[in-house]
Amino acid sequence: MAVTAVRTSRATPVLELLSPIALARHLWAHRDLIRQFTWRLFVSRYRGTALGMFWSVIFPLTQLGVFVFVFTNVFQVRAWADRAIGGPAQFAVILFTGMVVYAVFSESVIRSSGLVLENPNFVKKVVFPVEVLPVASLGSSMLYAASGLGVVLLGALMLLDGLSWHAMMLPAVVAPVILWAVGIGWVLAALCVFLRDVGNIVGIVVGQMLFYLTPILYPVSHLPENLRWIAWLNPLTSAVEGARGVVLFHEMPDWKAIGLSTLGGVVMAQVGFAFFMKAKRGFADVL
Amino acid sequence: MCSDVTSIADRPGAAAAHLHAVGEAPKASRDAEQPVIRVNGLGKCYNVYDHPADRLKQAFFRWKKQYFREFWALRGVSFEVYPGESVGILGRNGGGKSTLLQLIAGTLTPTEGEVAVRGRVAAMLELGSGFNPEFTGRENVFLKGAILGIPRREMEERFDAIAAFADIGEFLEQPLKTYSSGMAARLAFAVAFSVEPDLMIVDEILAVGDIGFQQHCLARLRQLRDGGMTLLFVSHSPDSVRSVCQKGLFLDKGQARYFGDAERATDQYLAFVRDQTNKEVLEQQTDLGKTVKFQSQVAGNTRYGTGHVQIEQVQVLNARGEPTRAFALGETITIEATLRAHVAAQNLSCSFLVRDFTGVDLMGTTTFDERCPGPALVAGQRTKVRFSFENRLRPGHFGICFAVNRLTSRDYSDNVLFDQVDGVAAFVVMADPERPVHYKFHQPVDVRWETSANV
Repeated sequence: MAVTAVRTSRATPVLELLSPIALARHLWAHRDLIRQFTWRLFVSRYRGTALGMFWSVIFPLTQLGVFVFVFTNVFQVRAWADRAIGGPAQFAVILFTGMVVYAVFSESVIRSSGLVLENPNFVKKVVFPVEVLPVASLGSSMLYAASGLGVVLLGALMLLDGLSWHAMMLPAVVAPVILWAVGIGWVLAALCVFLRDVGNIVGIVVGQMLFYLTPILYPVSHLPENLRWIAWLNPLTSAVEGARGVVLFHEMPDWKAIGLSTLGGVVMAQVGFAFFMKAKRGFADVL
Repeated sequence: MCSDVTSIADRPGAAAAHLHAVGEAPKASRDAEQPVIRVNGLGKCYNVYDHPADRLKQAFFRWKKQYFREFWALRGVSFEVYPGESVGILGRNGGGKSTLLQLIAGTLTPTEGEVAVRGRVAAMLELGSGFNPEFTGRENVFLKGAILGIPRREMEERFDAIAAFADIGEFLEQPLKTYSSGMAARLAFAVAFSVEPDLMIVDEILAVGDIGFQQHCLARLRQLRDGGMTLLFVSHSPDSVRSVCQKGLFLDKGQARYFGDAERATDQYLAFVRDQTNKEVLEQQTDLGKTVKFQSQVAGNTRYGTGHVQIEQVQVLNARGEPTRAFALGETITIEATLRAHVAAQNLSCSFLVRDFTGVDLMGTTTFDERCPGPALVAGQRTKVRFSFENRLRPGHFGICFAVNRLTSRDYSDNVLFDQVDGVAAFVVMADPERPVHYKFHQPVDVRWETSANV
């Protein structure tokens, strides 16, 4: 070994934890672990099932089927009627686009919150950088979303009027979702260790409330004028609206909203990381 | 969390441990070398709650009152370990051994004081620790490598050597949960050895492997130690500490009782354990009364016992009854002890033990087991006991431990230790170039040749 690393029990200074460069370096140093655990988390859901990875498409598609049925036959709501989009199949593609973006966030955050708690071995038995687990959780939900994205692109090509160069902007549009997901993932993973109730709260807030509060089943324009600002407080709003815009409607996204959300996401990720690293020192005492 | 030096020194208990700890290492010769482990005023406190609800109250009303009791699993421990040293950690259950190891390994965060470790650490704190039971053996090997920051390609190069050392065949492709404890230990050691750690922490898990594998491991441990690896070793067996380690740390109730030479550490530990047992037995056997202070002066490293009957002198004699230091092979060695009773005592049993210079206990016996019960003594009376045996030991230096007990039960359950002195006497066995002794003993051996008459 060229350099002998010295590890002390001293706490890392908060200033260092709040440095984006240090954070990036930290994650890069553990890239191999992140890769291994991303794949594990992704594969573990389907290991031993007969249909295997098809479940990653089957599950959201059945959910989508229910929504389309309810909204076209029961409520007969015509969201996006202004886009002159006809049948339920087209409506389904629009809904599904929002669901895929939302799923990246919700899957990752919900999974993250329980990760440290479920792996006490990694805290107590071995010196393991547990902070990579929420990152791996995000990675696995992005892999999961990749198959959903495939369905969206297929839908756009076959059922709507194809794809345009606007779709290339998709990575920039969903970037804030990724940042928020990992930041909140870190906070919740740490909180859950000390207060297990957090896991249940996350299930309700992120798993249910957030789904309906995010403009997935409706465009923001359908909200009453005086309530729209609430929707824009939601970091997912700009990404969901933007993703539909660039992939399906060939529009420029709302760069101002996305920029703000990305900036907020950077802060969230950094603060979440610092919070996790501070809390991590106490994990072994309570697990 | 305390990080500055002044506040460490202020804490109770810290000073006492310093006394044994840092002072004993010959500093001057080591100034150039940095310690691998530096432990300074280390303490770990747990908050103990009587009721689960108190934990919640503490979280919300912490300014009102304290709802928990403090339990210090470890406090005021300081020592330094240098490259190539091996340190055995001794102590009863709950003494703080595991807490110390976890603090050094980095899985626990100290409440006070500081621990710093240089270089790559391979910690084997518990069976299968650091392994994921759902992963296959092969996946776990790469996981472990990734945790230690070893690039995947490098691990791939090491993989064949790991597989060969573990020698578990097809199981390498099976999930770890299907492994026997022996197989898990094999894989754990194979990985730990292959990553060339600067510090290896072993918590008594060597015991699960079979003899062949243990030999394999010990050989590799010595080899790595000679190459500069530092070893931290926890064991309940003082023998294995003495044979593997040069230094010993004896922990009790979270405090460092002794840090230094391994043999002295194990002696102190054994003395402590016997004292405890004595106390318990004395509580049941009320006829003896309180312990008696040692009045006789004898040589020796450590002395312990109740003092009701005391060793006054131990001598090594030759066949003519003269005090002698050196013996040849086949000569008769006599160990003679003078005892004095301070209360009326009967059912005495005396015992001796011959220990070689590496600290390995070689031979010994008790008058009880030799069916040679001692006389009943009245208070103040003296008696002498002699053990004679033919010297079969290989050349070298040998130490003698001597003890006097009271004992009537074959299972030693009513054993009261009156007096035991370790290293009370010594002798030398001289080398004879005409008659070398291989290994530890020479037993008379009958040799016969039978050669066939035809070609």
